[in-house]
Amino acid sequence: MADLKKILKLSPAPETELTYNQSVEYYTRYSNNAISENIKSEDKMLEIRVIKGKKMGIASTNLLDKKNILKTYDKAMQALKAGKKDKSIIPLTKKKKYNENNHYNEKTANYSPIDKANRLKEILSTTGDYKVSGLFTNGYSYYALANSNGVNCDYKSSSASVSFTVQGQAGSSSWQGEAANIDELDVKEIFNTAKKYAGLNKDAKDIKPGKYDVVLSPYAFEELIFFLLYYGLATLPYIEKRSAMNGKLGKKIASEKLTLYDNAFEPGAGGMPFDFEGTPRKKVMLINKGVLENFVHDRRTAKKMKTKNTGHSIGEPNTYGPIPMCPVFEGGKASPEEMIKSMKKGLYIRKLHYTNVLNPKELLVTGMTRDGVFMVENGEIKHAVKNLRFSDSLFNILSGIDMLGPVTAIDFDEGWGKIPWVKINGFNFTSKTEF
Amino acid sequence: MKDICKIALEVTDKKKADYADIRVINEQNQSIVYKNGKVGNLAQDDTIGYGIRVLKNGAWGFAASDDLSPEAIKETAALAVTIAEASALTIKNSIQLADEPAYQDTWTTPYIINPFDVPINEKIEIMEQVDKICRKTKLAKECKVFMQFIREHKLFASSHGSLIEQVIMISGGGFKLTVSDGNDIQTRSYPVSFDGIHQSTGYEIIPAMDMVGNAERVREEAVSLLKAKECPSGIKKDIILMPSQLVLQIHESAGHASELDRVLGYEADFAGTSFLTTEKLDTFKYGSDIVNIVADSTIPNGLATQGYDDEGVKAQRWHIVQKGIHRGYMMNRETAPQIGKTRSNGCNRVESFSDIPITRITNLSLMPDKGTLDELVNDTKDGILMDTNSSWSIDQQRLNFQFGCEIAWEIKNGKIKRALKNPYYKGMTPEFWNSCDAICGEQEFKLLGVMNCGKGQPMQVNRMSHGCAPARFRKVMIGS
Ligand SMILES: [Zn+2]
Repeated sequence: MADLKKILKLSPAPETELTYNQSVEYYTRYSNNAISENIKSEDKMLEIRVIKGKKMGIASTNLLDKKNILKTYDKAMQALKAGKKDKSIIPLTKKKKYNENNHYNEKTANYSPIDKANRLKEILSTTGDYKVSGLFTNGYSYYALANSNGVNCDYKSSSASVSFTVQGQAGSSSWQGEAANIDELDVKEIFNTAKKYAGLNKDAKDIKPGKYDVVLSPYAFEELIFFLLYYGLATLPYIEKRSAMNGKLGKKIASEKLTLYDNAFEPGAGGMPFDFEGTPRKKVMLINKGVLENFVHDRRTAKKMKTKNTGHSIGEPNTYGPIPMCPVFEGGKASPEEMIKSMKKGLYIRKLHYTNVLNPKELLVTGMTRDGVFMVENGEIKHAVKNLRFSDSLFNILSGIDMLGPVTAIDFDEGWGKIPWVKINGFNFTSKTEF
Repeated sequence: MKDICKIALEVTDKKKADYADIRVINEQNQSIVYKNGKVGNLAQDDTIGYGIRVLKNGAWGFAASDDLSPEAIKETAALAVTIAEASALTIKNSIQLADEPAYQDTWTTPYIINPFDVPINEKIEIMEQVDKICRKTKLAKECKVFMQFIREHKLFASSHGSLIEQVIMISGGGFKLTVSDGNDIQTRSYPVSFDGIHQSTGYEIIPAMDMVGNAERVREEAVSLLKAKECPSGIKKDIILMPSQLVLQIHESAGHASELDRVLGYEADFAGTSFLTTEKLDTFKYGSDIVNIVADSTIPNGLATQGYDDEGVKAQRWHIVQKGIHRGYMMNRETAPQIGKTRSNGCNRVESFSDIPITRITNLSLMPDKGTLDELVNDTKDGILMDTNSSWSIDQQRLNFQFGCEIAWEIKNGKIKRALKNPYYKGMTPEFWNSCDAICGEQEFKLLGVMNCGKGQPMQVNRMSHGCAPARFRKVMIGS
């Protein structure tokens, strides 16, 4: 940890902001039934931002002795002096009260590679005809912010995750899980789920691309809503009139079954209680029963849209603007099994792969299925299907949401969100592949 | 830096490691983003640290730290050994490394102007001029100008006796303009999309790309796209791909597909596997006879060009595809012996000191054939020319792909006609490369590249150059 108060005192500038990031990561990767990479890495970074007379300079270092900190201040000041006056520079934030939020667990932060190897040994030594690969991680990250206005806040969070891909003679499948507390990860259950679907994913048949009703797991749905969160619901593109959402605020953009909000204090999810300027985070209703209701804000976008700052700054300066950090979808009452039962003819999809936006105006997205696609007829899984490419406007996809199921907590890096199982009608597949 | 290596390797030796290596890396990074009339972001990073990799009981362990004290170095080295012992609990076959001579050597990127000696205001002035020209229209919504410079000073030492010091210099930049008339949104970039062109070179690349001189044309093209006709969809057409798109096609469908770690299942849970399985080596018809795809870690200005990779293997050149036949892979010392090769071809690289080396695509280029772009267009009766990648997606075995470009032009009876917007094309990798019937000559060859290739867990972002001349592909499905 760095003593930011002490480092602030060394500043040659009238206004100074310090950002400190530190992380420790333990990653154990396995492939072909053995651990193939096993690492511990430690990273830290101190960023210094100085402001003087409407000019700004920035420099960063990972060496925290006095000599290197002074060198970094000097580099930031040189950049400041070389720069032009910029009227748009905003003053540093002032100290605000925020509610504490705890996502740190000591055991998760320091769980040892030996303990992980011992837990994996059993799974990796009894694989039979299958080849098992995957990842088992744990670690923590720490963030602190201090400035010459007296802001001094910090936040520490831990996380663990496990995933398995099981490859059999006929087909393969995978499953995963993640949690802020490693004890909440049911490693064996996750492995057994991957193995079960690998067994079902055999003799996959070619089917004709076209429109199908689909049931998507939360991990598949997450791949899609990434583009909703960081393209569609990004505030600055809307203000700059280059967003797919221009003209759509207050209007219906999705099925009325879809409700999405951002909440750093969501039970079982959530994240840092303040944003990257130290502003307390507020809950924001983004899409309410299918209607686009609000955007998240930082100081700049709130002023431009004549509304309140919701505490979603990604830090000054930046060119992206605020984004949702803890996206929570309201789930539904249907179980995944009930969703499958309700389909006359459709596809049950475990995962999506390599999704991307083709056209930002229509939010036209494309991507592949992966690790198990199953044809459902009259409510029953009939057979496995070879992977397909989909391509459709996200507005069409979200309007096709027909049923919602239980939610899963998913780590979005800057916080945890909740993503549901969904049934979507009329999902558009455009081509197929060979496996 | 040498002391760090010595202390670490003494510990791993004492703890009876079968093999150990260490990378000490000092990276300086300056990146400037200028957006809509002001500096939108500025980063000047300076980091140093080390990563120690150990082979013991036939398995890998790795630990990294940025604490340079002798006690911390010893602790980190000991931890790497302990982690290798933990990995060994699960292995069935001991890891064997392909032989490589021990080297004591230094290597430096050749460059003329050190970009870190060029004052920031000089860089910002260029960006300001580009931004002014680009936003001379009310339709301009976002103009972003980028520059990035990296100096990587690294030392590699191994228990086999290698001690290699390298200084890599990377410079680059570019810009993009997004316009909207309220009905549509379009973007044009220069010289290529995704933050521009980068090479291993000095600041001289910036004046050479003449961003200011190209800003007006880029602006007019972006504006014209708002009123342009949609590119047709759902039909098969002959397409000509410009280097700013074709390099991404090379990257995704030849580069990642030929990473031997993917082929052998090391990435099965994350990035995926590959259709280029080992029995296809030297027999599989990957492309038409004129398709020659060459991996080369020695080419001048390449983003992956260095004297040695990050496990001390000397830089090399070889064919991935020769006269259409699949001839090689991207390998490291661990994977090469698994397909009977006696030596790695040097593709093991790290993003930073805290990463373990993993198999990366090195510089990978489609060799030029003959003729000019004009001649190729003249020879095309009814086709579409596509320029500048905007979107990419490919399945986990690297077969079914879909790409999007910023702009296209109709070709009718050998002449370039009107511009078309939202051009997309898709296909299957071998079918696509076998449909390649013309590649322009050396005079049209461009060395571009990728700065944002993500791979591994934790994700490592690395860079590599790709070069090519415009090429034609027959009867490709266009549209989304
Ligand atoms: Zn890549």
